[in-house]
Amino acid sequence: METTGAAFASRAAVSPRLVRKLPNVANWCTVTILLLLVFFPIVYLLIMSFKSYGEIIASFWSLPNPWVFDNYTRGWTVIAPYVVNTVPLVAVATFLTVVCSSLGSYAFARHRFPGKEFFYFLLLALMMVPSMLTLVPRYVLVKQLGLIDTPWVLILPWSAQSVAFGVLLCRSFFATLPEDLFEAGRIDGASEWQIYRLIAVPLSYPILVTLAVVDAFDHYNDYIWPLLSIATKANQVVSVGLTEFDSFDVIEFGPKFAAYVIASVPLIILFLLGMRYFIRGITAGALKT
Amino acid sequence: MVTTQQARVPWPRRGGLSLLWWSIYEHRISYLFILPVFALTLVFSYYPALAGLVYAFTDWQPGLDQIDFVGLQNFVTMVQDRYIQVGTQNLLILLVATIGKYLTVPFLVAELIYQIRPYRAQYWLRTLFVTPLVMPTMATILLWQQIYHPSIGLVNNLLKAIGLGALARPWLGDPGTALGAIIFIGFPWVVVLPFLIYLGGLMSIPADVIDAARVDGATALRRIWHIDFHLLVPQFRLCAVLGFIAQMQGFWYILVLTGGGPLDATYTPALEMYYAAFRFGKYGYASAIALVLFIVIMIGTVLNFTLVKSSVEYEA
Repeated sequence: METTGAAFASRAAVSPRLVRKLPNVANWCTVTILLLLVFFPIVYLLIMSFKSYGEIIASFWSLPNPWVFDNYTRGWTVIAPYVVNTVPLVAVATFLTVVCSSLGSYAFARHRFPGKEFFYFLLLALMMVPSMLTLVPRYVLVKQLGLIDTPWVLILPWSAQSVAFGVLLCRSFFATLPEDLFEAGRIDGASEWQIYRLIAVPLSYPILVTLAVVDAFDHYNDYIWPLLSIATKANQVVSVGLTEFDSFDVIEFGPKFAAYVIASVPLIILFLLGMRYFIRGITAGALKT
Repeated sequence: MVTTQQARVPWPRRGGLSLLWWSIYEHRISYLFILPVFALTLVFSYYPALAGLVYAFTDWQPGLDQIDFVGLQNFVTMVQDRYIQVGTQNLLILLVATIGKYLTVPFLVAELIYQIRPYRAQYWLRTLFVTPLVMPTMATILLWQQIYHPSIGLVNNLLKAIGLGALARPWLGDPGTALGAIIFIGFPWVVVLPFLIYLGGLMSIPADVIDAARVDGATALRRIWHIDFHLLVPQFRLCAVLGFIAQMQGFWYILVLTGGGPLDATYTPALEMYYAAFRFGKYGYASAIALVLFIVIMIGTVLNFTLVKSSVEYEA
């Protein structure tokens, strides 16, 4: 391993930069094949969601003929109530997480107070505790608190599970903001709350959106906890609702696939709104946190 | 809070402890800032975690009034539990598969995309590989269940179409293929999080280093081998840990797809914990399983960070 990065870097200073634009055909081919494979199940899902049962049996490989839009009506009646249940819960839990994380990480990044290191270590330790370890006791707890089947039984534990990561993520971001800004605020007589609200938060929108996107995806996809803590079908969330369809009921194939597509709509919207921040946040900062 | 009441003295009268109270009172705003985080986690994370530690040593079952400490009995039961034994074997296979997935394809795709120019194409390809996130994970799992469907599934129809109809079978319903079918889900396994982590790592390699490699006539493969692997060790380490933790705890999709079956072909310890708690009401036993898994996760994580680090320092 004689050719280390450092050796290359030192030689770079003396040699002229070569700008090569070599369209790498092999690269493009591999990427295209991989993309086709990645999207194959999704395309399959979309096509099947428009086919009737008879057509799936008779001509599996053909495109839908005719396109059975009724699949979507029937899928909608089953899955829409679950989606409507889930979206506000996810929104509130995500909002709560972002607010709590940004408040906490602001203090950890910009304040000095007795026990700061200790409290921060406590949060770090929490990252190591798998949600599995707390599953049973948490279930017993919410039962004792009488929270079963209420919105809070999802919102509060969801938030509690993401704030540790949230504080870690935001803290490193807050720490990079120049101290001068905060100093100027203090000189102008702003309170700590005002400095947080008017200086720190507006500057950290990218990281807050990243956190919100990660959390919203996580909560929307959660299955085990709602399965345990929501007892009534009318209050149930979408992950559990999707399992409503009997997996061996072949007649319902089309509507079932249509329901999967419908259940994706909130995530598609979220993707369009926040994916730029998410990708940038993860690629830029995954290891710096 | 106790602290604020004690600290209402106008000025520290004595040194030592009262000075600390005074200092805490002075910084009360900071504590207010971190209060929401700790209020939430205290109730829904710290308390359950500690309670779980205690439950692990009891015979607690819901509905029974008396809860007894049984020492290590739960752990003895666990060693003898046939489902734990089979589950551990399955888990080892799953762990190798998952960590393998996290370390290979996402890195390969990151490398391919990293070398693609113009940057605009790179950006869009990156987004495209992240796009499958828009499917709820439950929908993805259920879609794959349909892909494995015995009569109208994609896999069997594909086999028939290429003349290999004899191989068609109920992939998830056959004890010999169920675990393999579960592992195959998500093919070609471009796992999003590791992919973005590797890509981020590659993009943070200084341009000088890359240029120098080119000037020295290094091919892309040589560059990957001599530079990228070395500079991305932290990323590989992180992804290995993420895959390890995810697989140690992940059981929900097994619960949905096979429920651990057919027979015990897809059991895992985490699934057994779920059944122990919520099907058989053995909270004490379930907590013991969770505790053991937690300890294994801790050891695995620490080992990964110490071992991998030292070996690389040795090489460099």
